[in-house]
Amino acid sequence: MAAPYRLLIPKRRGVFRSSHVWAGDGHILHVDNTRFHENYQRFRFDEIQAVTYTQKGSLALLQWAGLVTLVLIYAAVLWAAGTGGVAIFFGIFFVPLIAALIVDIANGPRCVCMLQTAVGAHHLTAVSRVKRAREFLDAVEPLIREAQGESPVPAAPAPASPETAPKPPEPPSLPRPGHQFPLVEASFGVTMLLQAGLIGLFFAGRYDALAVASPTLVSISSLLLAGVSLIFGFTRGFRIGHVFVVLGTALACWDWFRAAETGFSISSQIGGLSIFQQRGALAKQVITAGFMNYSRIALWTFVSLGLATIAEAIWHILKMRRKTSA
Amino acid sequence: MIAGLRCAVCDEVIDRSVWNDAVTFCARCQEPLQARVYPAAFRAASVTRVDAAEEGIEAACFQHASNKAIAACARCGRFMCAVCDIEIDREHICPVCLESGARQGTIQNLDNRRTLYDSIAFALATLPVFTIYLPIFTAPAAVYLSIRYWRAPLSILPRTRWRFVLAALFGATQFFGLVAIIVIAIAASRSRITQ
Repeated sequence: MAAPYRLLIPKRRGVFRSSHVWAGDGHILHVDNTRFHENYQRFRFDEIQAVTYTQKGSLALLQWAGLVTLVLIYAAVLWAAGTGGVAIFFGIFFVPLIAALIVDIANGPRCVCMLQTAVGAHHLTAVSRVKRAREFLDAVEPLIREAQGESPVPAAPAPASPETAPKPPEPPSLPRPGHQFPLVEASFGVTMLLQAGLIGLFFAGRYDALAVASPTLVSISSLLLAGVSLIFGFTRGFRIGHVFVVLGTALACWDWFRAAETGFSISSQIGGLSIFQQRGALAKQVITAGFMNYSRIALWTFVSLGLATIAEAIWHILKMRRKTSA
Repeated sequence: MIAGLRCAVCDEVIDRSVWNDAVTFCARCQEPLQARVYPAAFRAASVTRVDAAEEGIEAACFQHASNKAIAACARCGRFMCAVCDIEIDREHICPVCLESGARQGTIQNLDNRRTLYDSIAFALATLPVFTIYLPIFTAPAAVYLSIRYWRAPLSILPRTRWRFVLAALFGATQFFGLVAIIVIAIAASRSRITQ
């Protein structure tokens, strides 16, 4: 029989994973759901030493806003140019994007929440917003106080003279997932610029749109996957799967250049575009126009996202250095 | 006793004077933060004391003959000393029962990972539909998973088996639909040849 668990705060839902915190009999249950698996962590109320949360910068929000603005501007330009059908198509395509932005703003600022026990600090991924962190504290504090009693927290010791005061022991560093890594952000930015460069090559070289359409989509997706995968590699450690991702990306990029040179690619054959190539001029025109529009949007999106991410990473490093030197 | 706390964003040590303040700012990254500290942070680490058993007078631990028994295992009934006594789910059990309970999945609070077979079956029955040809393989797999793991334990949280039901229904429908299409196509081509 399932234990009587009570959901403490609303679930944090993502596309591929969700996480949530529950109050059980004498403990908190943190659930990390990867769609096909659930991983559980339990923290007894009488063993919780501290809960901390720190608000995070609004980089993600800026990126969302930038992306939506770009799309809207491009749709408006297309509309003004008289290609209303294309603009409507992209408007419909990006409505979920705008909805996601509104939800993101409504959820308030993001945060990183850590739970401290005698064993170490644990990142509570389910508590990712300041609003949720406050709700979590409000819900969990009475339970912790009930389990641990109301004994007062000792006051901070009075500052002693620098000569006589012994240096207090440093707490251990936090586990890596709780950190923001400027280098990881920068690598993501570089990946974005690589993608933009790939599309730029297509425009500069005036390759046959239909020949490189499918390999471009595949290589862009592969590079994006590789970027995200490497970020996870940096934060959670590298695995053998990363080798396959990098090899797959290299293969996709090689396929792109092959398609650009010879007009033949593995991905277009798999994707079935070769069938359309043989079926009349209309299908070819529709695919070419769609691909050209997609490529232009992708080019500017990737350039802006890449530059914004790298700039933010540099700003973050400079800020850290200034604070450290101060 | 807690050594200290760190900012979750920049890893800077949080000054003790701001612990339990409403909201403060990190000294390094200047981001707003809150640190709530509880009495457990100031508790000294407890040390388990083990008394020696007087031979012939006091009951001894099953695993450690020289140690005095303090309780009997709630599962196997063997006497345990303070070293062997493990409290879990408000039960006192011995390490042997703990290990076997973890292996067999009978102690729910030791379960730290579950595979959601119902979600796998449901994904197999729904996602590949767009590829048209993949359901030839995935639809039977969805039906198989639904039947094979129907009685397998799901999440430790409240969860019903509706995904299994839908996966089996969708899977069976797709499979028989595809078989019907193939049969009709073959019959049509044969009739064309005979004509």
